[in-house]
Amino acid sequence: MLTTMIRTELKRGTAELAILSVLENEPLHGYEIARQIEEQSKGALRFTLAALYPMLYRMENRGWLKGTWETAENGRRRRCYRLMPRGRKMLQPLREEWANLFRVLRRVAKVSHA
Amino acid sequence: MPDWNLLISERIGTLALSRQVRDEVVAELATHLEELYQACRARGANESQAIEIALSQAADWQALGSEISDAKNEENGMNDRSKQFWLPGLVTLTASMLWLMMLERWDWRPHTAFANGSPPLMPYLIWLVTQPVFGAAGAYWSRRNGGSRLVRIAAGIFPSIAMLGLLLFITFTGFFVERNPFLWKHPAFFALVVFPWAIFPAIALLLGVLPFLKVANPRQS
Repeated sequence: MLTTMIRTELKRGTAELAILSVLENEPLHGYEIARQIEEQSKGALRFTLAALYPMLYRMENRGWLKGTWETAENGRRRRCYRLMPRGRKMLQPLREEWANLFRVLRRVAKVSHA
Repeated sequence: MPDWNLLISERIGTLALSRQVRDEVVAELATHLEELYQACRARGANESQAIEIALSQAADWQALGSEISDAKNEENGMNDRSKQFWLPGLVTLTASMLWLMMLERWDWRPHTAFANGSPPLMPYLIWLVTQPVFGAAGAYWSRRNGGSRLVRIAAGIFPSIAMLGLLLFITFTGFFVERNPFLWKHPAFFALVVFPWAIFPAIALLLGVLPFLKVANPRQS
């Protein structure tokens, strides 16, 4: 139970960093964001629609992302999210924060790299 | 192919969002489920399995609706109506009134041979012909924040709406509270005031608003 809670909180905490990171190189629509995160984390981080969109909207409201409707070559309309300067600015401190956390955990709990 | 918009609309219920924003949210979630459905089909799932997998993306659709409403309305305490109407409208009103005050303060008159004969209404006329700029600014701001056509018009002509409200209030209190004898003697006074201070400016403001009415849904541009 406790392990599940910790895992959930960890995943929630890393979600923002994961979203910002996948958007760092190119704008993506929601489904593609989820797919890339899952692929890059080798399935460790999985975003359902219910977890992804409230987070995207919150990040958009904070000015980290901006969503715009775009038409793909096949004519399908999708809302693409791109990283805004404020989001880009958040990326580095978040990375450092997580890196520090893992450093501390390695020292204290003897946690080694996964 | 499933109608994802319909399936989501039925499940998610009414959201604490404007109709336009709700429709956008539903459309976006529908696009996501459609992609997932297609991916499942490509992996060999039959239609009903693919639909089931897609719809299982939210265990509780009503809860998701509430969470999305909360996330959308978080916006630093400012909701869509404030961003799309009140803020552009009030700023347009303030800017327009400050501009009028500045013109009257300068008592601007053309320094020409006709200066002595220049009409006293010059500040007003300059103010009137510059109103499209304020209307355009209000409508642009509203459109940028996702305002519908009607909201863009309302935000753009807000100075005239406010002026009309003020004139109605003054006239009503003048007639019925103060029982002003001047007003009772000249009942057409309201019309004389309302045209130069509300109707003509509204037309001028609307001219500025027009170019910003072309895109139906700015968030889909």
